[in-house]
Amino acid sequence: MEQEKQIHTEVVDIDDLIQDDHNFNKGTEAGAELMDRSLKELGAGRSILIDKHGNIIAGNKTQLAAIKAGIKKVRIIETTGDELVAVKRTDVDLDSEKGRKMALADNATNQVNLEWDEMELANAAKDFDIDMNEWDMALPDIADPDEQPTTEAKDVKELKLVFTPEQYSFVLSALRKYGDDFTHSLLQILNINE
Amino acid sequence: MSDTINIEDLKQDSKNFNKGTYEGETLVRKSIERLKAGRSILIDKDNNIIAGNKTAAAAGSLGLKVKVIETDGTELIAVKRTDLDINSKEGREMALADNRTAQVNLAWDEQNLEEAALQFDIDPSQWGVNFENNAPTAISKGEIDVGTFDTNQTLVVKLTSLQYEAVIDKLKVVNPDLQEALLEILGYYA
Repeated sequence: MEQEKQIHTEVVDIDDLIQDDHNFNKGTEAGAELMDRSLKELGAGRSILIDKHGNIIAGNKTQLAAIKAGIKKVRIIETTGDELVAVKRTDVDLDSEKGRKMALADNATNQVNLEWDEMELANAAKDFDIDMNEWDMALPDIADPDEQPTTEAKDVKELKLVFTPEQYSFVLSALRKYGDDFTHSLLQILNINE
Repeated sequence: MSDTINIEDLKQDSKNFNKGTYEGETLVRKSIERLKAGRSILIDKDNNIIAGNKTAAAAGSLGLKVKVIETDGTELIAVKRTDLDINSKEGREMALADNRTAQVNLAWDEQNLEEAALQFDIDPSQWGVNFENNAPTAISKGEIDVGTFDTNQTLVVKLTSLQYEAVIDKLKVVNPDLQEALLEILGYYA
């Protein structure tokens, strides 16, 4: 490892970073293609995020695409999260074809490359006591891998309603006024006994 | 080179392709408040924010400063949270928040995107983004076959059979389209 002086950075081989084998995001083929194109055509953009052991918390797919694009080194910026890190591309002007493509690519790759791994989510929720409601994740039908089907469970039906993102945000906010349990909220709003 | 500056020294993109959403803004703020800052934002040579405008706004309102890392894009930057272990509640929530905030907080600004596409001869469909009938969707076109990507989001509520029937009945009285019925009841169109 090369140590840079004065600032808390070090440079490591990209292969030294460890992929998350319980990644919540399975990724998509189309997303991988976009990421490959972005890194080859525009170079590296936002950082990835790693933990104190070099495990990748966010940006697992970016590491893979960066390797394919021929990037061999990673500059590590240490922080405890009390400040925001900004990667400054000294060769890019936002109001240029390259700058605007980078802005587009950042949003588009995030959108296209996300496919939730519901089993990993369910396991993490259980193992680490994470309340998915707090991240608006009560919605997916996440099966508990350790839970056996019960007679009571067979009586459960799912009401699925599809909204645009703006409508969805509005509906969640409205339901949350009655609590984080959306079943309870909906029944309250419709004046139906639980 | 590394430098620490105030958030106010960064310039928000007045032609941002992403309008953001109320729910996304809430989640971004919650993420920073609870887990502190995660992966970086991206700025240009003049400190204009290329990616992460919403993150910067939330971080600024929470009083965070900005550490600027200069690069020409030939190396990858990794923010290392020396206080985090991925195999902990905070580590896993950080992984969840990174994906979830990006998902919930995206609402394409069609006009800004079209103007930039025209000005800089960019084909958004080559980046998996297209607009049809004024509805933002990412659709197969150009060199990248992304298939059809639906930006809509599904609300799933678990109910007993009796509750389910009662809910359907109540909604249908308002509007046969159940989505529309719930929106009307909640005052979306008010």
